[in-house]
Amino acid sequence: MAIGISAGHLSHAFDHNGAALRVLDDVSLTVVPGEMVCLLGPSGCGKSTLLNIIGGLLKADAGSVQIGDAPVHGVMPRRVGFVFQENALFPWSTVWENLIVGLEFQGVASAERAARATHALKTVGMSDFAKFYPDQLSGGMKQRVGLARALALQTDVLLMDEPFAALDEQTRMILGEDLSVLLSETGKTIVMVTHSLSEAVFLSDRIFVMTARPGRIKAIVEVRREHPRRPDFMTSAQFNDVRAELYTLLHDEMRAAAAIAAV
Amino acid sequence: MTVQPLVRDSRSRTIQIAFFVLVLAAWWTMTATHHISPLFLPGPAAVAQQIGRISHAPTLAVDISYTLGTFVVAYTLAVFTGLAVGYVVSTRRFFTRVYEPLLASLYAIPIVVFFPTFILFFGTGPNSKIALGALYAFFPIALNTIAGFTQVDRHLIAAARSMGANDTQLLRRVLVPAAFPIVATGMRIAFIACFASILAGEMIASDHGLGHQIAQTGQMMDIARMFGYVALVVLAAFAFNFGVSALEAQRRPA
Repeated sequence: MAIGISAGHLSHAFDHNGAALRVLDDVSLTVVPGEMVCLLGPSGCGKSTLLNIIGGLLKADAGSVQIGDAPVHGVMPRRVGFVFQENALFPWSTVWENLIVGLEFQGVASAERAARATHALKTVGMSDFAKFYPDQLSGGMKQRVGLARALALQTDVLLMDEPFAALDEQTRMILGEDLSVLLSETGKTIVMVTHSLSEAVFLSDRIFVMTARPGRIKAIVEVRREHPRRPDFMTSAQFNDVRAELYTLLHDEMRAAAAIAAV
Repeated sequence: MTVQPLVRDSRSRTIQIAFFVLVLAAWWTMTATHHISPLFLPGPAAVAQQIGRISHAPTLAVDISYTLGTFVVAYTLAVFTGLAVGYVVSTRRFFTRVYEPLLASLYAIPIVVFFPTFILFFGTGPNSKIALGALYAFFPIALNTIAGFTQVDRHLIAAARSMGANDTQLLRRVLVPAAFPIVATGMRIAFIACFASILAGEMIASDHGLGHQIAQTGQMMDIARMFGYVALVVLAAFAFNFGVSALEAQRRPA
């Protein structure tokens, strides 16, 4: 049972050495239940901020978010799971303990914790690594564990903050393919932040292209292709057309972002 | 800073043992060939003989329990106050901005200059050494506790929050384990500072204790006996270090 997300008129500024740094300017978006969308934009455009606001980790200065039928006032651990970059696993805990601890936070009974953790590890193909510590794993493996941790929480919504950013291109491709299969099976509603054009095209139903800071939604690009997507999608004309469209949309914004950064 | 356990594999162990054998050999050679007067540095055999005598003396138990008792009280005080102050200062950015530099600058003061004041206030008994030792141990513990708790990766905190951790769970399952290595380093530094300052205090003014005996025998030019006490202190420090290393190795994954 998937649920949708709607965000209306979100604006946010950070305090930057006493001056207000506007990162989001009147952003509205809707994600339908079971949809996979990407937030794509240049560095510093506020896409991670937007994700954190949707997930209740951060409170927007203005605007509101609704997940399913509930307004967001803070984290909703039973509805919304997060996947962060690879450094978000607890380094002092084994893979197994990393999965268990989140369930413990939620008050899941201990017998069920083990069952859920076992299943989640199996889903991402990491069953053999339960006793390993994160620093004994490769970057790709850590991300699989991070994904398993979120899956074990059995939330309807999954928010992913550049989950593949620290990985090499080949690992990203493999993980991307596996993710497409896995997520199409779970039917979750997913919002993913990325700055990779290919990743966005390969995984998304729709791509929200954002402007340079302050971030606004510049365009919404649709990728009409059913899930799970196979590797040959990447060499198709459709893939290249969408990617080219995104590139054109993004190019000016990347230049603008670089100009902001240079000041 | 992580400290490796002293004994890791047979090769490093051989080198470590060889180091101590070499020190002993150099000591023995210098004294046996009379390059150094036995009045200043007696040979290993003479010191060993004195250790034997000291261990039979009824005063040894008194001195050890005096020094150790003082140390345990001072260190325990420092651990509790240091952890408490450090943690509270770490909880708000404003506190950290105000009090961290303040504590760091106080730590720069050579506290031993206040020892005569401590004697005036607390007398020549254990209390003046407790004050000295506790102060020397307090600062590294408080400062490292601040550093440990303020440097926790915010991704880890966000991850825990997103999974529904409440404040207690966040502290117990994230903040404490994340801060632990840095806090433990502070406690190790504090341990050494506390022990050294208490011995120094005992050497300056005391009626009992290992430091008192070292100063006393030194002043009476009973140097072999003095080194006997020195050797006991060194052994105690090694024993402690070995114990802590073993504990830390157990906690550290892989």
